Amino acid sequence: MSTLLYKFQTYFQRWAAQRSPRSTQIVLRHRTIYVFPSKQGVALLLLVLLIWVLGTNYQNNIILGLAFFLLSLMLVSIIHAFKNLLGLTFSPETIQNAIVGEMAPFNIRIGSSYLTNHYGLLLTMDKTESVATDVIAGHAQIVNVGVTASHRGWLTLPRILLKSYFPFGLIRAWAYIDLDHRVLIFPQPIETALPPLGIGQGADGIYLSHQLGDEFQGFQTYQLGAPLARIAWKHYARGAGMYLKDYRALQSEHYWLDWDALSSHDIELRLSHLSYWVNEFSSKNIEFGLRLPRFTLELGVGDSHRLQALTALALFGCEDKRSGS
Amino acid sequence: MTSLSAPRTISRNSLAWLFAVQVLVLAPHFFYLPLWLAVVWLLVAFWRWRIFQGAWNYPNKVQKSLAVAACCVGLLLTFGSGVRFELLISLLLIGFSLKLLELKNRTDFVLLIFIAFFIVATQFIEFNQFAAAFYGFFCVALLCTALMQLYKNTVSSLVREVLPSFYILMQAIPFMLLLFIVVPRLGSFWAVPSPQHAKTGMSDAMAPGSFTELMESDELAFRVTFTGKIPSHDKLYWRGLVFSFFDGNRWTQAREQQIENRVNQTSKRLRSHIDYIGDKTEYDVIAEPSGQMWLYALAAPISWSDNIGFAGDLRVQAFAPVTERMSYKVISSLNYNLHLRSDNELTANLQLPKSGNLKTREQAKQWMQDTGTPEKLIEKLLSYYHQKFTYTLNPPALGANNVDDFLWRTQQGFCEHFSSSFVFFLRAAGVPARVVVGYQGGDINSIDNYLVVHQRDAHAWAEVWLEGRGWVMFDPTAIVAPERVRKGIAESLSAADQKMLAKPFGASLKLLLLAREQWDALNYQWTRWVMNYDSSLQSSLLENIMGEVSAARMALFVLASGGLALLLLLAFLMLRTRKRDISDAVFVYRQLCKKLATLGFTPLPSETPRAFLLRVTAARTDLSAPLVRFAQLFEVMVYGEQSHIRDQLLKELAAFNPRKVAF
Repeated sequence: MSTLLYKFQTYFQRWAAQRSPRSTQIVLRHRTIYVFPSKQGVALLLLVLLIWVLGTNYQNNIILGLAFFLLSLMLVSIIHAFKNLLGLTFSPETIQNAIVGEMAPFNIRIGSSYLTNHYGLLLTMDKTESVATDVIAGHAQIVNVGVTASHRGWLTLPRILLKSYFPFGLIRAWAYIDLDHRVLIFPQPIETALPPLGIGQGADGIYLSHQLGDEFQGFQTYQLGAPLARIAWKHYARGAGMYLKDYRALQSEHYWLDWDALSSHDIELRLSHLSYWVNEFSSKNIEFGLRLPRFTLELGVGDSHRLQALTALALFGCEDKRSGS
Repeated sequence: MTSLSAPRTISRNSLAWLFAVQVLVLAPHFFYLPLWLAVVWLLVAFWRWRIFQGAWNYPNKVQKSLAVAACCVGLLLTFGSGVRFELLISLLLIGFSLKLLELKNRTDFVLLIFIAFFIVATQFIEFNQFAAAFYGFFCVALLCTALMQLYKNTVSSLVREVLPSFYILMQAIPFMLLLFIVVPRLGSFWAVPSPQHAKTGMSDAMAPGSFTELMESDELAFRVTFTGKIPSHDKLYWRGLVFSFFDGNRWTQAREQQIENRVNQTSKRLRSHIDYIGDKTEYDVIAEPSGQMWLYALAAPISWSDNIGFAGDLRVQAFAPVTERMSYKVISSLNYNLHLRSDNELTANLQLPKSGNLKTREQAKQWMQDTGTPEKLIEKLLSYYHQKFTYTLNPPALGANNVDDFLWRTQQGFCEHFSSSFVFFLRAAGVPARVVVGYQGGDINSIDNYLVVHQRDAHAWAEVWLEGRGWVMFDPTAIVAPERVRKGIAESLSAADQKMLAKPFGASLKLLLLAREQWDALNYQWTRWVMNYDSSLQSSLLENIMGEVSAARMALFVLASGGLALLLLLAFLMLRTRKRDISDAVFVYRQLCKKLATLGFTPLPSETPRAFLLRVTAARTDLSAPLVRFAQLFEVMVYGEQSHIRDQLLKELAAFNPRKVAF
């Protein structure tokens, strides 16, 4: 019996998935909303039966009327439960990156195609955790759905079960929200004593960074769009043409983080160590480069450089076609 | 936005609401149940409130068992051991009250509300007037409101939730009516204990003073709708019981009559001794519960509905004691001849106690000798009543020889005295006679033209067997007080006596009387069409709607009308929801333009909102302050839908009234 039920459930899930394909904007329509009596609804039906028997035994029409009223309430609840989900819109909101083992906080914007109220919305991904919200007067809400990041790389938002027991808890209305929403999960940083340094380290001395700084280095030819402050106006006044003054930061340290410098055979562990040092260097504003098999990130500092490095580490070895985007 | 991992606990709001609804649901039951149950509820509710405040704990197992045991002992002391209706209801109420102590999460809350639904249903067993139904459904609506707020995440205050929930409940009413009309009515599945409590009504004996209580009662006995014209007041003798046995104090049914009570005889054999003469009178009676078997009809019944039977002495009776309001239909012929059914009927109706009332016995024999025939004797006796007797509800006390005392000494009394002495006198003279009790007359409700018979209309009269004519009815009371039967009891009494008679509150005020009649008419129609809607009424109604009634047609009818109603409801709801085709900002701007249009300003096609509003401001400087605010808010709103801006904007819109500012 339970296997039959299980078979039916899997069949239903597949059928429902076909009806609500993955998309970046989901609007709930009559095709994608399901309604069925809840446990309490079944309990109410039993109660109605009990009251009906009472009314019949006492030949009392008001008691029968009450039984019919409760039954009608259930009927009307079907419509209201359905209407409660109808027209809800779901779209992804911007998201913070997370590291392996953390909760990836997916933000979802829930709005409505109508200026109506949608009550008691419960968003569930697994059976334990759910998020509850109301959408009042069609005004959009942003809810945060946490997904545990179990591995690095792209984490897509799993299919969400949206359900509501509004108005009286007798009818369960539900829909599957398959939102095209993903976040990049970085490897978990694991501390090591020494950075995995490759060859070509400039530990001391004068080294010219690729970053702009305040140390004058010489002149460059003018490029369109260069800041006016950098134009060598004296040269221009002399009629020597347009030149740019070249300022560079003077970098005392720079390091190359190298894949091959790591001894561990565990790829994930290597990535974790590299991640640790990427963060470490970034927080101390130390210039670094990253050498991975078939990928090299040139020397640099700053937030975008750190993100580039971490992205490379997160997607290392992933055959994700969309990774380049 | 809240995270829901465990079932939510009960908020202060819902707890207070639950208490209030519990009080409403329980209150009607305390009219007939011991009041200590209310104390139990109060204690439990107080305990639960203290738990909510964090002062006390949930009861442990020992405390719970003690509470249950205490209540059981209380029930045992109150009701004894028999299974009675009141006991079952009390158990239910105690369970409902004590469950409060286990109220921890949402599931318990829902369970309590479901039990409350059932308790509302049981309250209708006891109270089934229109007002009770209204009250009960009001309770149900409040319970539904409590249920609904559980399934919302934003609850402001429960009082505000009432209207939205009522709005949904209203939509359930058409479906309820449909179900009420078409769902087949079945007979009882098993015998159920009925509420037993003292009900006023005619008893199975007539002793001195037994009518006094009835006459002081304003309670309803039964209501009658006549198919044709209502017969004149003096013809409305509602026959209840016939008493042939007298023990010197009480009139009761003779043993043979009592046996007949239990036998539901076939109508043919019973009616062979009745000659029906003249027109038929057809009427529907709705009798209030009396706890007795006998019912009331005009003599002589020709045919009657299936739910009642015909007994000897031209009586109708129910098959079981009437504990619920019951309706039946009778066709009577007001003119009839009633002949003897058996020979010993005459001897049984000559029975007198062995001793007592010697003067009456003597006088009766003497008068019989003087007059010669029973007819003349009756004539003489009635004229004696007419000359010497007065009708009063407050007669002097009678001694042991009560007939002697009444006939020859006090000569003041009412129907029970007149009928008793009349029958005694005739029997003593050798003329078979018996006492008939029932009701006489009734009040006509001017709103719906039906007859209301109250307990105070109780009456007793006599039947005398006359050779060649059969049993003939005489009413000595009518000789003494003709107004009693012509117009009703209130008209026949002196001012002092009227005080004794049960009278409705404010009977002297015309308006109140009219309102009372209106209310009674409403209740009567309610009883007639709603409470008494049974399988026969159902099939005739359904035949009117569908023609021939068959299972297939019925199913089709139910599905078609139910489905259509659901679709209509959905369409109605969808029409009412406004589609969000424009942003909030544009919506507000359009509303504003509508308001300004009343002043004659309309935006040009090329004008931006700001330009338009500036133009209006230039023309109407008095409006500049709100409009400038508007323009600013509007621009903020367009570049980012922020909820507080939106609310502010809507508030501004609502407050903006160009005409009011103008003057």
